[in-house]
Amino acid sequence: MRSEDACWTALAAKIRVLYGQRLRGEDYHNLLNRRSVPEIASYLKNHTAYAPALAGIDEHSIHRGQLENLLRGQAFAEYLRLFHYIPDKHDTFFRFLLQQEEVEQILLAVSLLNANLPSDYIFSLPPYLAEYVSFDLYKIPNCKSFDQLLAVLHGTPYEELLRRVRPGPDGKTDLLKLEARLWTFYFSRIFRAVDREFRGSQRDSLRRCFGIQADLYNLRNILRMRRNFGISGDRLRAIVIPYGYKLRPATISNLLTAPVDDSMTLMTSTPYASVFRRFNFAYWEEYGMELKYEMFRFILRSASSPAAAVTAYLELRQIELDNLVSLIEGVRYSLPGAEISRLLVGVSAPDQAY
Amino acid sequence: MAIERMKLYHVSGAIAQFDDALRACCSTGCFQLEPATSVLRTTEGYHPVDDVNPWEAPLTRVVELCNAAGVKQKETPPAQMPEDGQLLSTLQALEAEHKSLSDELAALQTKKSEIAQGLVHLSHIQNLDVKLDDIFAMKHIKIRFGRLPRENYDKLRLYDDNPYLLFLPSSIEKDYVWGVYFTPVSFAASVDEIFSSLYYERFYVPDAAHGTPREAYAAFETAQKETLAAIQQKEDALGDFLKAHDETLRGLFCRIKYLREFYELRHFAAKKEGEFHLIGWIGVRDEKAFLQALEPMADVTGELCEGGYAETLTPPTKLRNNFLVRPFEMFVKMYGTPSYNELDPTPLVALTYTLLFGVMFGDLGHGAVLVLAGFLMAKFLKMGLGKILMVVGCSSMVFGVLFGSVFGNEEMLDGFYQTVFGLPGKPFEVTAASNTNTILYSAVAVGVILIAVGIIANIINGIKQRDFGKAFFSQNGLAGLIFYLSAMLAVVFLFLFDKNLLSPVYIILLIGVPLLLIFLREPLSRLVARKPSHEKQGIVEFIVQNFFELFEIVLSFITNTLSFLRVGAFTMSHAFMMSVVFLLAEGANGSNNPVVLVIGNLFVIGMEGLIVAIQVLRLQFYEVFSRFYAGEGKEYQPACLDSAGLGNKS
Repeated sequence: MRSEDACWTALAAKIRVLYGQRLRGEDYHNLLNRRSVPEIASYLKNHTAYAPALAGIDEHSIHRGQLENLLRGQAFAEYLRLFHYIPDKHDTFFRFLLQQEEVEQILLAVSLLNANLPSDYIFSLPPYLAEYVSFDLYKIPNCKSFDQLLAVLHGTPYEELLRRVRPGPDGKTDLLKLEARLWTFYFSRIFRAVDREFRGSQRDSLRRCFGIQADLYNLRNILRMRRNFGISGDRLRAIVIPYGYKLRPATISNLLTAPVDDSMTLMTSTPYASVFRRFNFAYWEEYGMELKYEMFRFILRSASSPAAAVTAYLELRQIELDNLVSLIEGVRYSLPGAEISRLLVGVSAPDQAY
Repeated sequence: MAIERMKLYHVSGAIAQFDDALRACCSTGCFQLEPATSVLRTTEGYHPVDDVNPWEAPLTRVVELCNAAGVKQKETPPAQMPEDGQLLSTLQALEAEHKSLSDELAALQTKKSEIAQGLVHLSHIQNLDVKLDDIFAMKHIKIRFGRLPRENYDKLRLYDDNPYLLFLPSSIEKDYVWGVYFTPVSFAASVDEIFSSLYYERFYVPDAAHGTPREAYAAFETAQKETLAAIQQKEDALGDFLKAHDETLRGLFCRIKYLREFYELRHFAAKKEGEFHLIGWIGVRDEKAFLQALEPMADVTGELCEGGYAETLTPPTKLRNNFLVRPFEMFVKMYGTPSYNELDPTPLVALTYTLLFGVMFGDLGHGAVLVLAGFLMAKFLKMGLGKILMVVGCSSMVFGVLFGSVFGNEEMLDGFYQTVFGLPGKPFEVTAASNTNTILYSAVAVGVILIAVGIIANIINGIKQRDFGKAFFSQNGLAGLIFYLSAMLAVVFLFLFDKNLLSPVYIILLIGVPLLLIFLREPLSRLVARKPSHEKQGIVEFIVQNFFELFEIVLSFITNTLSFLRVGAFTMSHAFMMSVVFLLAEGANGSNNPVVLVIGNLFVIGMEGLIVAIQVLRLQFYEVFSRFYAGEGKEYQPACLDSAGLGNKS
């Protein structure tokens, strides 16, 4: 049986190797100069670490969605391989990525149900996940009602959660409430696992990682709901998740009630003000992503806690995937390169490493 | 050995004889054309001859044809060449024939690709035991052959209850599943959309495929064999074309190239009132042959130009050196072509480079290797460097005998000295500690001599160019020479003979006065040349500026002199490197490992040889050339058409 220290040491080396294969500023610059999805596929296949995933494709005829699936599939396979190095007693904690995916799939299924397009889930179904999630993804497209979906989730903790958010008289489920409950459940599991499995500086680092993510979730939601949908009061309070790191209840209360004319002013009144002052994004939601990116990059490089470093690497990988999806879709829909580059997180100039 | 004197000639005659006259001038290979309109003004009625070159386009075509046919464009003409009047028609006929063959081959290649692709597609549906014609004849059912990603094939089970969709897999691979789906015509749009969302890639069965997929596959295989055979046939035909017309194509290339280049020379000429005018330079030794070449043409005259516009043109520099010195022109031209009115440094370079290289690379065996290598390079690779290697190799051999070194072995020649010269041993022991100072002092002495020679060359150049300021008052003129040699002499007497020459008179006359002249070189030069000064510079500024320049000049004398220490250093390092080789080769039993000796010698020859070559060149350029050599001359490039292109039409 391997000692825990040996596992962490091996894992630290492994994630550094994987991190070394990340996309650089130059890669993004080259990708931004591609004008079609086949060209992007060809570049990724021939010049990046995504070559194994794209080895069997015909880059001239590949579909955008297929390309995105293959990239995500490779990232997921990489995540699974890390379990070989993860100390056995931390298996539960490191399933957090899988749990994130479960939450995303349930939310997608419910939103399609609300739109009366449940069978469309077939096209979004990520085949690489099917084997690992706690419910049968292939049964979801056949769910024509909320109860049928509950039946698919039977035996999972999600069944009870969904029961409490049944559809209203109009037959539609309150997605905001459901989303808040699912993510609250997700964070509660994470923090319980952190408290149970880790001690000392490892625990503190992990609480900080996920606490900041919870803060950013709340910030994004509050501002989006207030600014774009005019939601306020108890309804708004119901979507705030009770976890965080820097955002105190008083700050959240202030965000819920302060005038919403200038979202930037509101943002700069939070402990995350420095982030919002430094960048100039097209969409203010990207500030949160940039903060996440900077935080995880710092954690990975400073290597203060092995578990936090692994977490940071996995999150950075997700950011890279999101960047690639933005890029692929931007090119597919003929957005100008400058516009696409503004959507990318953690990418500043061609000669800068990501 | 010098720069040949050049004369400017003006050739003119009736325009009808222009081509003959131009050909005659070029045939001598000594006439360097100058653009006539640069001296013969349009205001005086002269106009440039700028007809469009009619051979430009044919040359491009023949080069393209040669490239396409794989014919090497050698400039050695074949025995038989087409007549000038038939050049274009022959070219056209060959182009047409080659194009026809190439087009047929390209069509066959396309067919081959299509068959190959068809085979790939058919290979994946061979399991389907249905006739393709029957399938495609169906009016109410649509058929789609193709493939989809393996993971999406699993999703198809979600459509098990859809009666309008039937997918039959024919081949399952790691990443893809090949097959065919059937759907009623009325539901084709929606089913196509489902499959499209599952990233289904359609492929089209070739129209030429009949029977079952297996039968069609077999037919395609047969067609592929036939096509390959036809391609082979066509390639053979192209090869035959090449063999049959190789000589003709080469002839076309040579002749058209010659005609094109000949026509280009017309742009050097001017015309006026039915007459052509050519201006050009010839060396004095070639004057007679040149005039003889013009004699047969009655209406063409060659007139020597002296004064007038002849003085506005810069003559080209034609170096005239013997066979030993000529190879070193390559080094001189690296720095720059000598100006017409300056000394040709090639003989100096030849002598000093040879001697310095020999000293720094002194070894009989190594020198012999260089001679052999140089011979092979010159004979088989036609490299000018080969001849240089032979010369410096001989010098290395001479110094090798002097130093008693043969492939690093310091004892091999002892018997030779005793027998031939009656000496107890080698004349000079490089590795002896007692000789280290001698080597270094000698190296510095060589440097002093070379620097002095460089300054003397500059004085001569200054006098030739009638730049007396440069000749007498500059740091590289007489003042600099006196200062430098006086200072060196004082140092030598002080350190070697312990005698102090630096009396007040010595210091004032031989150190102080030259330095003062150098300090005042600019105003003195202007005074001698009787040129007024246009710069408004204050006295203080002048003094400060020239003081620091003087300081820099004195410093450069010191550094340039000490730079020659490397000659001694490399002399010793060559010997010591070989001693290291012997040390490595020595075995436990005292004998030398021959493999290590050979490899060590080769390594030293290669590495040390390269370093010494570069270092000597560096000394030449930085320490010597910088004293006197400007290298701003115009290279002598006479009009010399590839006479081979003339064929039998000289």
